[in-house]
Amino acid sequence: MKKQNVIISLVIGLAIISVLFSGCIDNNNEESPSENVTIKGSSTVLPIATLAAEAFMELYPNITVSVAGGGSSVGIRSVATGEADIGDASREVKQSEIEEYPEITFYDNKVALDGVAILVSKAIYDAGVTDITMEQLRGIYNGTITQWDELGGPTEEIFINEREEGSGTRDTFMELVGLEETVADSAHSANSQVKQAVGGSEVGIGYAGLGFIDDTTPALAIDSIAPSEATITSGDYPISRSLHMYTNGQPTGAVKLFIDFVLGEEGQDIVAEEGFITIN
Amino acid sequence: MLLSRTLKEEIIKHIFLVIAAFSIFIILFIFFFLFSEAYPAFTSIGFDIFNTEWSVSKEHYGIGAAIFGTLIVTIGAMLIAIPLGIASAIFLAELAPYKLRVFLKPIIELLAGIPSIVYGFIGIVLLIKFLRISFDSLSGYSYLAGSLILGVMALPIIISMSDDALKAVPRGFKEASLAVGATKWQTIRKVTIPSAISGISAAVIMGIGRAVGETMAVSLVLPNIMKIPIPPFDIFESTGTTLTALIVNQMGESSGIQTHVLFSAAVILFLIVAIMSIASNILRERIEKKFKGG
Amino acid sequence: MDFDFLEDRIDAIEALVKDHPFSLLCYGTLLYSSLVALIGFSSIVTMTYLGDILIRSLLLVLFLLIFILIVYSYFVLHQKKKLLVMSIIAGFVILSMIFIPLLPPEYGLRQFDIDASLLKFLATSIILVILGVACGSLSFQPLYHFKSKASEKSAYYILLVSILLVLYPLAIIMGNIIVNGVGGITWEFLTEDVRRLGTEGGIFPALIGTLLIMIGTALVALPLGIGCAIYLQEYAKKGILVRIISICVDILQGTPSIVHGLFGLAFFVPLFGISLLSGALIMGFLTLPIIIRASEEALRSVPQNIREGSYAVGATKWQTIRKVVLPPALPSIITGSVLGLGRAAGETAPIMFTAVYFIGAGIPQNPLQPIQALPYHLLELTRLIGYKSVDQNAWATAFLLLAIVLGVNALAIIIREKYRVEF
Repeated sequence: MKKQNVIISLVIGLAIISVLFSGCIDNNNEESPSENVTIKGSSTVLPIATLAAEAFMELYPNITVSVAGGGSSVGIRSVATGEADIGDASREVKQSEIEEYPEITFYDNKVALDGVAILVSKAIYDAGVTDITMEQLRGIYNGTITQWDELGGPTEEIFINEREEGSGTRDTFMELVGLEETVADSAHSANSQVKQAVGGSEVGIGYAGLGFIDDTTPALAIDSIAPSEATITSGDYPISRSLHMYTNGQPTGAVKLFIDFVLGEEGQDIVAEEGFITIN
Repeated sequence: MLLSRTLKEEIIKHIFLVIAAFSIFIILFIFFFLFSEAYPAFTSIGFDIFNTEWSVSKEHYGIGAAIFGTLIVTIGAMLIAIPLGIASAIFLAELAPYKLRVFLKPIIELLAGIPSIVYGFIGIVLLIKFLRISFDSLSGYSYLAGSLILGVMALPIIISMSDDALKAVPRGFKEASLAVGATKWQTIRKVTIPSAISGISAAVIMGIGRAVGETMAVSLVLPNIMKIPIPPFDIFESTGTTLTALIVNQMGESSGIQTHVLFSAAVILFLIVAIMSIASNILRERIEKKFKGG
Repeated sequence: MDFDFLEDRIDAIEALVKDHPFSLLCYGTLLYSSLVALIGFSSIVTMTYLGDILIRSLLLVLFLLIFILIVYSYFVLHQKKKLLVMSIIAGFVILSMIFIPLLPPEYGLRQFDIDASLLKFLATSIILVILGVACGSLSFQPLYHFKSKASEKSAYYILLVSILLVLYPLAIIMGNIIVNGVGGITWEFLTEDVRRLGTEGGIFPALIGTLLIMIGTALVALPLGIGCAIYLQEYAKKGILVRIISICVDILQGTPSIVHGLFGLAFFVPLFGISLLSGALIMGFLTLPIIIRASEEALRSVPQNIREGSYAVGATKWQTIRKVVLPPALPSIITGSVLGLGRAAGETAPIMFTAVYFIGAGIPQNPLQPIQALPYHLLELTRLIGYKSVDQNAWATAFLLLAIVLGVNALAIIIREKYRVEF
């Protein structure tokens, strides 16, 4: 029996320690009830939402903001079912979704401008493939163009990456490039994974938000228009879009505080830091 | 005094009965829930669910590609794990000097406990890169990666259980064989291994079970496309997924029929595991009978 | 480790060498072949091509050695039939020596419309390893004059190679995690909040979350599991019903964790939301069969005569269980429970959509709130590799998780060994 007591006391001890710890970390006002804001949705908006949540929680210690991904479709659906207070989306809400949830008013809070960048592996970019036409892009994704040498690159097969179904980035890409289906090699559930795959390969291509461009995965210009703040704001870059935080009706309370924060100076600084374009 | 004692005994017995019944109820409830959630998929899609057409937007839900994936990846893993595992178990049980065995056996048991997400992490940072370079393949994400990782994951289980099975062979058998002049290796080959074969089979079945049911490691190193590679045995190609990866990738965002389809994938996994558990159970019964009977 | 058995071997070798100089050649071949295999293996691991000249020379020497052995065996030992295998292998060696350097840099598979090619270095290295192991194994044959003892030693060699092959990846995994991860374990890492998508700060909430899950799992699974085992072992009548229950427990034990997760998502989340409670319940159900099995085994290993002795002196069933059966079974029950909890700490799939958030959940104030957890944290960090600089933290998280799980498992094994009661 003694050993059992030892284990039980260990367990109780652990429980006490964790409660104590949480008491330490927890904030000063234990009397005021803490509020919860839950955000779900687009993996494109995710970095903005997460970093904004962090900064926001430092300003408002008794509001907890939880952020999760899942894709734009998940975001919109979560707002409709009440699972989340804010639904991040990198596309607009569809007519079918409006009809599916007639009691919900999807209130659109546009928080940033973005373009869907066409990322390629560094080796490909360095080999001279820096520009692509819309038709060639379509050709790659529907399987008519299979080798990089058809675009002036090395004689290698193209490693095609895409986003999963339900992704706003995917929906935007498919719609604006004009594709129904693709022959992609790999489907990813987040922009970061597309970037990971393209960056880790020597022959990769994929699409992701503007903020995912860097030296390891440079972006192609489409019809000689490179994705940048100027070309997206002016609308010249063909695959541009807004990033949305949808709420059920106009935001109120803690949710409103958060949205205002994102739209305010600090929030928009984060938007710019992450490589997206501020709305002003 | 005596009466209240009996009453107390009865109450305690019934408390345990309730606890046991509740545990069993939970188990049965999980089974039942899985089947009832999977059933609507069958009624709306029927046997089309086994074909390889998968497109959420078009509402085609054929999970055939995932079933194929689970099969291929498991076979690949077992090709690695079974020979290496059984050979290592023989080494451990019969050949290793005592001190070495005392050192190695806990290590193998500990290694059976490495969480699958850690394997997945290592898979991404080490294995994928290695495969991409060594095989000059597009991305490294492939059935080969899946099989390699699963093979390594299944090894400790197979080794540990086979070792137990070999050790359980009564000394008398081995000594009798040596007494008639057989060498140690001949004894191992003709006496020990055949006696332990039920236990070794049970070990292999457990290993297969682990490979089939593994989720995190495999979903990270596979390309996660619902297509069968062409040709089907091309394990290097960046195409493919397993039932487990399918469920974990779609879980968070599915709704309606899609969720029911995921449940049917879960039911398939469940049935595979159930069949193997029953087989393993029967084998274990046979072992007990064999050694208790003499 | 003591080296007595090694010394014995060395003495035996010395004796053999004095009596038979030929044995020296066999041992030499053995060592050389093993060396070739090792070189081939290292070149796979380091992904370097050894160069045509080096490979050719290695194989040439190997062939010469084997050839001498064959010749000696034929003329001096008068072996004929058993030389066949050795001759075939020798043939492979010489053929490899001639043809390998002629392989194109990328070999063979693309012509079958397979999407990858075997690079030359990999093909040659694999061949080196296989031939090295084969020759090493075969060199025992002439050493022991092709008798049965020779086959024994040949087989032993292969078994030894097998276990080394098994230990290698495991060593790689552990080694890498320890080397890359240990540096990231600082006090700040352990006590600070997750910041900037996991690139900065620490993993404190995830650590607490994991501990809370373990506690929650224990609270759910231990009473149910041990109680169920006591009933099945001590009270229930053996029969078809108990057999069916046993099978059900086995099936649940084998059920993949993702299936539990799916069940939890569909059943518990609508009830309790994404929360510690949902997670603990699911983990509890996942761990339940492990606890039941371990407790049953423990109770079963207590011999029947001890129970009967207790009844004989007039104790009731419950008194017997409490005072006579449980105490010796307790170490094994605790071991099994601790192992189960270790598993609960490391699982990702069941808690992924039912209990955890990557960011923001923090430390829950009540069980209905969500948590963060180490395995899921590692998963998200893995997904961010290449996009954000999370590598250092990812390795450290992997190290921490591994340390906790293996530490818990090691604890269980120690408990089992230390308190083992032999009957």
